[in-house]
Amino acid sequence: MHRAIGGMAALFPPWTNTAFRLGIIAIAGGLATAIVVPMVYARSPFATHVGQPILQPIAFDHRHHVKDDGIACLYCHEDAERGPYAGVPDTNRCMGCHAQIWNDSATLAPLRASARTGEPIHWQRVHSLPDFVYFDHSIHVTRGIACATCHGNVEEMAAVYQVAPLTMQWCVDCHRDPDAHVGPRNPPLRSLTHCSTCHR
Amino acid sequence: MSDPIGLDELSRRQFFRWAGIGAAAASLAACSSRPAREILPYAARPPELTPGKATFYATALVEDGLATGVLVETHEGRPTKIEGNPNHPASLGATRAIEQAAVMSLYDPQRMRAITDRGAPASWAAIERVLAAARANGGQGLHLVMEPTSSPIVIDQIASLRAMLPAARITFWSPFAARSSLVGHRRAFGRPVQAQLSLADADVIVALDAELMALPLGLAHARRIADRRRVVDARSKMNRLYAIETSYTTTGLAADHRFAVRPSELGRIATELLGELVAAGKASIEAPHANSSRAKWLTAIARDLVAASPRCAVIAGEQQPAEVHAVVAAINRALGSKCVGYTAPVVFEAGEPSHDLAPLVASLVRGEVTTLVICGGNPAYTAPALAKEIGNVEHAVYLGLYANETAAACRYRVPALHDLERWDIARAADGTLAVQQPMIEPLFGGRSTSELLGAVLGEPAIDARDRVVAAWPKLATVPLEQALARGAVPATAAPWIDVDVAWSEIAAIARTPVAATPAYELEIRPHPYLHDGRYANNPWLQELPDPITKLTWDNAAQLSSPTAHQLGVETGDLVTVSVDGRSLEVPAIVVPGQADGTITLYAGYGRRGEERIANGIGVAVMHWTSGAAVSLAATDRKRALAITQQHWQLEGRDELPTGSLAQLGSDAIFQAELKQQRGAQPTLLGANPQIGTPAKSQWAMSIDLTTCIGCSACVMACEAENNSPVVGRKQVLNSREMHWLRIDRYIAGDEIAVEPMTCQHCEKAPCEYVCPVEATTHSPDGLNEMTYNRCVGTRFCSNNCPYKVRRFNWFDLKQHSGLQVLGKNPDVTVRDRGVMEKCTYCVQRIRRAEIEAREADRDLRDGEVRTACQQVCPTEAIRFGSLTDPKSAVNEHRTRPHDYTVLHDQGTVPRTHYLARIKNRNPELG
Repeated sequence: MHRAIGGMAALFPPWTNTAFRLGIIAIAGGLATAIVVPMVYARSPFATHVGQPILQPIAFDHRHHVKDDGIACLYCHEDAERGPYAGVPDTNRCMGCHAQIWNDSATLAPLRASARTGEPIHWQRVHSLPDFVYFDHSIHVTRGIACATCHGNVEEMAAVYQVAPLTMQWCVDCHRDPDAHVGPRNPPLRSLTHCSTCHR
Repeated sequence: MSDPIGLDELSRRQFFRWAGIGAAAASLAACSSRPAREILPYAARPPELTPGKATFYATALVEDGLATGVLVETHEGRPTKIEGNPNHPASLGATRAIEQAAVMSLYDPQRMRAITDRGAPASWAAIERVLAAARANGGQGLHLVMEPTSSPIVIDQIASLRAMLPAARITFWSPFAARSSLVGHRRAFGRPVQAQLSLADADVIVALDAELMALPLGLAHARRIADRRRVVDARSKMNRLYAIETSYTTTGLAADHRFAVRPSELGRIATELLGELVAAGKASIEAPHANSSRAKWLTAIARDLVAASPRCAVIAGEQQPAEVHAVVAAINRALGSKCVGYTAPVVFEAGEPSHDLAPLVASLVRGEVTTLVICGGNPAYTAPALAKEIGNVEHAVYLGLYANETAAACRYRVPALHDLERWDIARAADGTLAVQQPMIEPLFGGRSTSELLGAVLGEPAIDARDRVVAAWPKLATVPLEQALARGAVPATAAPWIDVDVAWSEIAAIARTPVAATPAYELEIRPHPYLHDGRYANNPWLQELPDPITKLTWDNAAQLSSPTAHQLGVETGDLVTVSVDGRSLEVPAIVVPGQADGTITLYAGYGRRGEERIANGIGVAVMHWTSGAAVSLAATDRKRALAITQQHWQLEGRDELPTGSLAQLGSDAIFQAELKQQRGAQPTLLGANPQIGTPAKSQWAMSIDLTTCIGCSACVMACEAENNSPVVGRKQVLNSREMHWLRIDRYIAGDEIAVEPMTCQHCEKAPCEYVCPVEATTHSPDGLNEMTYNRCVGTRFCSNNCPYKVRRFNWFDLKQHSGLQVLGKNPDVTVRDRGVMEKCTYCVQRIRRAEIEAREADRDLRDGEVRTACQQVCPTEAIRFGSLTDPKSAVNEHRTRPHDYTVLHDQGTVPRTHYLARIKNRNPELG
């Protein structure tokens, strides 16, 4: 058998070129996916919980209380204008009315139990920020930011759900240019974007 | 507790096992969906409370019967931070480190939790039965040991007890409480009166072994002395403070002249000082002249005192024998000092025989005590004479916070109430009334001294608040509610009384021949933070570096350099210390300014109770007394000492300019040195692009080193405010302590100078340029911000910081659960492992104040934002405010001639400035 000088048979057949290219694309694509997918996921309603109604131990209906009865947000969430937490009203606030009306309703049995025993009602949290974020309701409310700006039309919600994603991006968008998001105010709103505005 | 994270036991394999589990758990946790979180509103909300906002209540913390008024910050009913009460004469708005750490003690999970009888759970009724039996035969065989008290409620109960049970005996005991001063004053004046100081008017003060922070009303005295030392320029008038002491104390740090003498010499120095006053015609008795070796300075001091009289004061520390107090009282009278007065003792029966332990020990030895009731304290540790006798008493009842040595010796144990859990009334050292009110329901049940005394008396159970309400009308005309809101009742201080010196007694003391001086002398001092060991289970206080030695988590024999050289030992070498045939092995620590031929040991260590933190650290020295002859021998063994500052020399650099008032006015070199350290400085650091539009406030700090006494209350306040973790002895040895604020100590000859050092908030911060993830940035109001959730832990910033003020979380040191979590400040992030942290200028307080001001549509007022270190400072050495307010206090400091910045030549433009340490030297002494 003769073989031409220098004509050594190729170790890799031609299709390996394609396999190699595909491999590189797969690795690059995989890496990109590994980065992009979690980023997309973190911003999706699956992670931000936007639009997921939360069931409460008492089927409290904001539609009835706000629309039918015309009760203002701050009547129950009074701390929103004087403290960092808007808070959930204490049992006594509910009983202010419900000692008189619907005081034998089966739905309100847990409320009456709480008033009797002093045990708090275990409300389920709807809006939650990480522990390293120090959001303060009162400064936002007293600067004239409407509750609905962040919480949506709660008066249309049978069970309250989150409307805003509450991501840092969402906070900072407004903090960069408040006038564009909530309109001009007097005194004018400041653009506060340094870290210790929220992180301490 | 020297290794709180258990690293010692961790082998490499175990490490990987745990790391693997951790990684798996972390990835699982990341997959979890919405965490179930609840909101639990109050059923009936307290009217004064807004969730998320702090509420402050006034109460008092009591030590040895004397109250220090405090304001307690509570969040939804949880005490989180102690502040001083400006209305209270023993606080004036400041506290010591000890008060700052009270929150940690409150939540200490190792506090005693249940009533026990020989270790088995028992009921309160069982204790009542034991005490009822003791009432037989008029209380024959019943003996009570109590802590000194000023509570009118307890005093009333004691009176009823003595009337009802005439055969019962009561002894008051606390090892470092006022005793010898009262005995001394009885000798000098014929009755046991208590000295009161009014140092605001004192031009010359001589402190004989008187540590400021250990004196009754020490915080107030420190403030009054500092108020007269605020140097505006070279024309300022300062008071002059002389410290004569064996080991360096905070008084020595503050003093213009300090003299190190042996304990045995101090008595003689007092009589010689009296002798010099006689020579100056201030008194006419026979008293010795100054010994030639100290004649120069002692006569100079005497002349200074005479020139300043009556605006002068001589103070003796409680550790000094009664004779010294008698002579010092005579000196003050001879000088006609209007800065020292006398009142009836504030502590019940202070200086009376009931404060003497000897009769109790004798009764115990004779077996006459059948029921021993110990209300608080830890006599089995603090009074070794008592220790072995308590166990022989059939019915011994111990009421205390911890299962300590005394609890171990007693059959019945009853958990006591912490100061923050109880109702009572207590007096400050000047007699001012204050009410103690509970901040929180008792965590572990717990009984008060009044309840136990009530059980001894067979009283029906009375609500603790009702006791206060019932006692109140007899004590003050101010309504109780008002007293509670204010924290102190004005015009209830004890009136100063006239006293006449019994000169014959003083002459007798002056005639006492000089005792032979032993080769080596011992000095025993209460620990500056652990006191007599009662706070030894508080890890904050264990890890707080001693103001002088910078030692943590250990007890060491303080020696001067020549003495150490004589013995052939250096810091860390174990030495055998023997007194009266009893020997201990203690590591040596070489301290400048210690009197030659003396060793100083702190009380409070070598605890052997069930408290896990206190137990087994250092050696117990309570069986020894100051002034004893001691023999020292070097050994060839060593012990590593957890000292937070290894290097003390300035190496010719200018970090700490120090001069006298005269030098500030006329010394061109000193003036040039100061000038060199302020003003414009060429720098390689570029403009910081992050700052953007500067905000209305530009925050800055100024620290006056003339008034700083190194007491370290600021370090503790910072730790409490900012949720700093404790790292333990092993990690301190690795220089991994987490204090954001440290107090640097520098040594020049025999003189020590201190400089609080924390983040300087540089305008051109070297740390910010190197952070790869912009976790440390600059805010428009001039703060060097640290954003924990962004930090990835490269530690570049720390390496680039010339001040070395950044702290890295090498381990997960935070408490994840348990009681201590309740004490955390909810306004500050609790940092995780792998995160850098540092001083923030208490940004949470700045932002809170800004929000409040903006909500009220007004500008921030100067002084409205106070950092934790500033608020606690007894001498108000720290100022904080905005540079944009031309009238701000911090700007005023910057106009003074001794204003400077540390490492000015680095061009970092720090926002924290210092005022140089200025001394008011006596020209005679140079």
